[in-house]
Amino acid sequence: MIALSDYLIFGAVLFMISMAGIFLNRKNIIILLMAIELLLLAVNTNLVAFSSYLNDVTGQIFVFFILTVAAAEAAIGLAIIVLVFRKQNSINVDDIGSLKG
Amino acid sequence: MLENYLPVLVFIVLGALFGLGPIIIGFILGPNKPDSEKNSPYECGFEAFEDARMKFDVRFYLVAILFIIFDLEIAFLFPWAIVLDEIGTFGLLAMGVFLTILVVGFIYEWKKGALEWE
Repeated sequence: MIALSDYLIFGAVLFMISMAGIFLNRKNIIILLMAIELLLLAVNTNLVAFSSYLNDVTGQIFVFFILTVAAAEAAIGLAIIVLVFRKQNSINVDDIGSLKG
Repeated sequence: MLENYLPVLVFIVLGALFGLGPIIIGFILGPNKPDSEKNSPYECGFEAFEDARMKFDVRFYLVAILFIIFDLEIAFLFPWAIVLDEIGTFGLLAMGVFLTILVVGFIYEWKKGALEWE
């Protein structure tokens, strides 16, 4: 039997990997989007683990809605990337910073 | 519950072996005489006319997005369809509201011409 803490550690590691991907990646917005997807999956892992160990189905319903939101967000994000690529001919993260704060 | 997936796992492994086996056997037993003409990409016998990095049609992207949305709709319909007897009229109406919202979106994309291919 796999303990709850193992699932939580796994989720935390996934979360860390995706955070590292978001902060370290300077080349490609698509990788940014993939890292955000991974972030949501890490949260989903935690929710499913808790839902199974607490015998409460609410977590799984939450996962359903998070999946929906993740898919919608990925669709819109990719649409934005397509438009950025049409305008700038590059999806380099550094090329997009036209505002200098 | 989880044990029911064991035959599936066995089936996947066997399928992979059956798929990879003939390829590996062909790779080992078949003759291998590479030459630049043989390795060049095939374009109906001519040299390639243009770069492989052609403009990508955004319609493929639109179809993919629509697939994601209606795929999710099906994911919501599956549990609803199974417990329909228990949730009664209220469940039916709730799903009706959800489907109505989706149909409004579908009509919008139809009128916008997102489904036109030509």
